[in-house]
Amino acid sequence: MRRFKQHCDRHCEKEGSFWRLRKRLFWQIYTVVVGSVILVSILVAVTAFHLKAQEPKKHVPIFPFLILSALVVSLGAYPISKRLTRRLEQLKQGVEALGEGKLETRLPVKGCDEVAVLATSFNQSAERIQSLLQSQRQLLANASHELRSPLARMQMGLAMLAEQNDLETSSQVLALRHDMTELNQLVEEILLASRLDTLEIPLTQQPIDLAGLLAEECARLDLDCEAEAVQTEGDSKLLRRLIRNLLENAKRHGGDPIEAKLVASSPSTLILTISDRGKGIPNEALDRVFEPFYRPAGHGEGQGGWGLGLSLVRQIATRHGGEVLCLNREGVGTLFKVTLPRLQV
Amino acid sequence: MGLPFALAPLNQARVSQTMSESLLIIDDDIRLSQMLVEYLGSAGYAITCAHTGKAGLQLAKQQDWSLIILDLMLPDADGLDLCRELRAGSTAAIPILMLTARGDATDRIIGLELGADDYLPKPFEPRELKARIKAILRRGLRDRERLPTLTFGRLEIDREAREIRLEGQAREVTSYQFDLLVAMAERAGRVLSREQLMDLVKGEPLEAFDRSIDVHISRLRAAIEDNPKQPRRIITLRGAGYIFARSQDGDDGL
Repeated sequence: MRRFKQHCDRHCEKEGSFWRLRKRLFWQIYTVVVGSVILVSILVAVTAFHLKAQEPKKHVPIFPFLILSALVVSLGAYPISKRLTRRLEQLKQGVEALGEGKLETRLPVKGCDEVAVLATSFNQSAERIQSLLQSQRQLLANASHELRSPLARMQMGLAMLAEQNDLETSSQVLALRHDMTELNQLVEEILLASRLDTLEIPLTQQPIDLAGLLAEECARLDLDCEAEAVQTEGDSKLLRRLIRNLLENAKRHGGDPIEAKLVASSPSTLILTISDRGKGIPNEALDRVFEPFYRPAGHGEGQGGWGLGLSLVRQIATRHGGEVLCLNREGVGTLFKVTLPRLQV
Repeated sequence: MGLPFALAPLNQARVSQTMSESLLIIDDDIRLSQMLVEYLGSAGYAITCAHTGKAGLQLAKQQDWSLIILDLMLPDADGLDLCRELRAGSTAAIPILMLTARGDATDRIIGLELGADDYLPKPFEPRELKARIKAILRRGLRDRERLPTLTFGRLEIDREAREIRLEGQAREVTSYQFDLLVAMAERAGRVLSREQLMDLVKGEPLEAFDRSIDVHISRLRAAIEDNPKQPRRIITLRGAGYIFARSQDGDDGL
């Protein structure tokens, strides 16, 4: 692929700019078309003269000649158009792949025509997008790392100050501590999100007793759960976070009673559902709740945004080869449905 | 029932023991180290700081430290490698408390596998650090031959002494109940059915219709749960069995 690109760069840039290529392509097509027409005309003329010379009185059959000429022209044009459309099709597939988020997509650059130039600029754009995203991720990760040190010192300083002055239970210190925890959590979540985005960092793959995790997390929040003893494979901390985020989300934004259920839906998949009887979510927002920091219309600062919680849920589910859906329940309430691959024991 | 015990004051009897303990902190954050010196110094520990892995390793070999507090992220060395090095040679018996950053790609469990005795994600509550230090010092020097004590938040299960401690205070259970607890704790996070539990803990004859496990569990809960009505350590999963929680108390398991 790279070799092709270099090859073309060499040729194309030596010859000059884009308009030259255009001219060349134009002349190629022009030559083929005009050549075919002249060829066919000569053929027709020769045959016609030949027939006339043999039988001067006989009528010359025009129609077969026309059909013959059309056939010859189309035969000449066929390989050119075929090649052009095939490469255009490739280009289209490449653009679609990029749109789906496969940023590593690159197109082979063949020849020196317009399609090749287009493929080259596509590759350049893809390269640029990829490096931009990469540097943004890196920035996020580094910034979160750097934010953590002063945060750790602040937390330490606050604790020492409070302890020395017997202020540990004063409302200001408690509020500060709460804010600091929130900030810590946010930094950690941003870091985790950028880590999950980076597909190059592999997840740990261990058999996980999902029922155990669910029961543990439900006990934390004093909720009941129903679970079959099923296993999946993955990172237990991430799966714990997935469950906890869904439960906490149901508790914060949904309404009682909250139900958690884990079932084996098939030999190879399991389904975790967490449902509440809250107000529900407008249909048009059902998919948007998984966006980072999404705040539904009408939610004020007081109620808080949705943070990264549900966005992390989706990232974790996807990285484990599953998916998560948000649905409105019959009657009233919301249901989150997570499908994950099941590990056969 | 278990509530008054659980809220007993933190290890007051042990404070005198820690007066002369010397700790080594290996952390590149100089300002944080200074704060730790002040904070832990006021708690009666003698603290020495090293800000690079190299200096830390050198210092570690010079003295018999009671505990080394090691940051995973150091400018000149990987904390995990350093931990491995400390585990070899003359420093092998010194307990290590590892400070890790949460959300990092490095799994903090790796730290434990390499021989750290405990870990604490940064940023931490200073009181939490103090409590962890106390718990490690109470256990004393490492001994490879010994079965390590299982720690879940404030709960310690000492398999050598066959003792359960909650916040350092021993809790009385029968020998069978202790075995039951160990069997569950060694498989923390997994759903265990009554049959599996009975298989794991032999010794009492099985009865035809045996609910005795449930009785033992409720005794255990009374001994180790803050509120046995809302168990956080031994959780029931209806129709399936029991789970010993992997993350307890302050440890959020993330």
